Amino acid sequence: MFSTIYIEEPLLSHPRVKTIVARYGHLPLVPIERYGEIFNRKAQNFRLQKQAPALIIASKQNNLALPAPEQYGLGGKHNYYFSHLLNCIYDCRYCFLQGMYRSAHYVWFVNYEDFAQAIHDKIEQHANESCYFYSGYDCDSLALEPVTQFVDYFLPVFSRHANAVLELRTKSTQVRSLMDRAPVDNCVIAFSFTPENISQQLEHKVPSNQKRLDAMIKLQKQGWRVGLRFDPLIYDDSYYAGYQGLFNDIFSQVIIDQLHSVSLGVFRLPEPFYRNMQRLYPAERLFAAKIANRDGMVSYQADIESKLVADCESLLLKYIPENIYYPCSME
Amino acid sequence: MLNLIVALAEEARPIIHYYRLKRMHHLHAFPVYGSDDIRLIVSGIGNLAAATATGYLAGIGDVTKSKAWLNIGIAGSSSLAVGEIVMAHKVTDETRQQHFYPTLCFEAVCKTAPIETVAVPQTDYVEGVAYDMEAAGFYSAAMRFSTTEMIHCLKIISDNNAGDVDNISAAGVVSLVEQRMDVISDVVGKLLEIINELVAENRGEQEMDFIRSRFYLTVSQQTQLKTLMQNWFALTDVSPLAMLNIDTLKTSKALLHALHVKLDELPVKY
Repeated sequence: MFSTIYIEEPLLSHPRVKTIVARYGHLPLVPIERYGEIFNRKAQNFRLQKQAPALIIASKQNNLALPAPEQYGLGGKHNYYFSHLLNCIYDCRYCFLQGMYRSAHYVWFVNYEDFAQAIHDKIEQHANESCYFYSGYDCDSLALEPVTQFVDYFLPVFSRHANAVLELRTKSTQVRSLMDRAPVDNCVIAFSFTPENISQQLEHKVPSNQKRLDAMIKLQKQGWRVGLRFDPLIYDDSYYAGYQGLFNDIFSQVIIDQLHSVSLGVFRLPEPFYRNMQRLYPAERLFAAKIANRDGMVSYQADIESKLVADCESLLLKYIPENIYYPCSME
Repeated sequence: MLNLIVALAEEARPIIHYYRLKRMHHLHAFPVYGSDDIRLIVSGIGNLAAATATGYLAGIGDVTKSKAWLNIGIAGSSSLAVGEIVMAHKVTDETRQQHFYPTLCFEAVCKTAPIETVAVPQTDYVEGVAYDMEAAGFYSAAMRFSTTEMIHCLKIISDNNAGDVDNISAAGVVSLVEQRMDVISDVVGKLLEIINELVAENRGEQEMDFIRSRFYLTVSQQTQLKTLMQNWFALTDVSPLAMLNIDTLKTSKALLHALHVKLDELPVKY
């Protein structure tokens, strides 16, 4: 799973680290001073590292819970994201992480207690107002659960705060730790989907749509709140049929009136990220067609984007009530 | 191109023989040997020599094509057996206390170890560490020309106690390298594979050469053309020259515009 494990020296005797070291003792274990000396250094190739990522075990010192970008909300009054993990085991070609980070190595921040304190402080700051916390911004919330045991730690944290909601966003089927416990009312597990043909071409190492649907339905039947994220919407010449088929497939299986939320998102990247990604993958058709640069943000050409969103929204609203639909912001 | 930096002629000899590398006699600053996809330079002993040789090799070739760098040589260690070969997962410059971390992007074909580069031969070994005299200088220089995934150090343990370091003979060094050509060739093979994968994606060179022969392009236009070619071949295998009537295009601006228009008309299918 990992090529090498780097560990910040002060963490060598941390209980979470000892467990991992015992499990992966056959791998090169390299003590370092700070994770940045591996993760942030120049002269790295994200694409090559994706073939054999390392695990960097670190402690996050600052900015443990940050305000979420404006378009990332689900109706909560206050929205934050927190990242116990940087980077993802999946390799989705549209993902902004490959444009933003120099390294594809996983950085696992093991100081969960500090994250919990930061989350608690934010909740206290907004006493009695709804707060959403998104955990899948810099990673897939569940994919590395067998290593990180993130859910095991954080679900009890959130179950103590009724006005806070935790969103787990995932493309994985790692739901065992959720199935093994009673549903937590203020936890939403959001599954991301694209049409199968696009998924196969662009979402490398991701389980099939049906396997993820199966996991989602299992959770729903147990009483967990689940959501759907169609984000980003991907254009191809047959997108209408693709999304029509996808929605038909999903909504014929999930329990619609038990869905928490459904959202659409546009394909959009800051220009420097886009240029990095195009440099890494010069033969990638996603970056080659119907792309425009508007005010430093790269997205589909305006007419393509607005038709794509309008058509998908129209298809979606045939299946779901408007009150659980969160349209993407195109600003 | 895979660049091999080796300190001693004795370390180089089995590698030159294995890959049938030919001496490049027109290069005089260092002994350099080459084939179509490998170049080897004999740097001499020490950090400065290794760094200089690395820079020299980068300078004599097309840097955009110099994709991977591998330093091969002997090292000392207290805990590793003589003849064992290790790949560096950390390289430390003992004098400057600078650290480098080679990134493994393929499965390790041998044990990995930290390598400490020292200015004078070392006999007071820390357990688990391999000691050499070139890796840090090589690595520091090579990082100017490539990324950490494509820069590696392989060291064959030649001595593991105070007595042995003085008793290493030229023939002994040759023999040590010969015996580890299995691992060396494995690593060389993996690096060449990665290079070839990266090179294969750069399509449109022929078309660009043709266009450059017909049109004068500014630097900015050449950059635009390169991007257009990349995007074109991401969408279709049909050459743009087959879809453009080049003879009707009078200027480079008109050409680039026509390419943009045709690109936008190409189907997008997954």
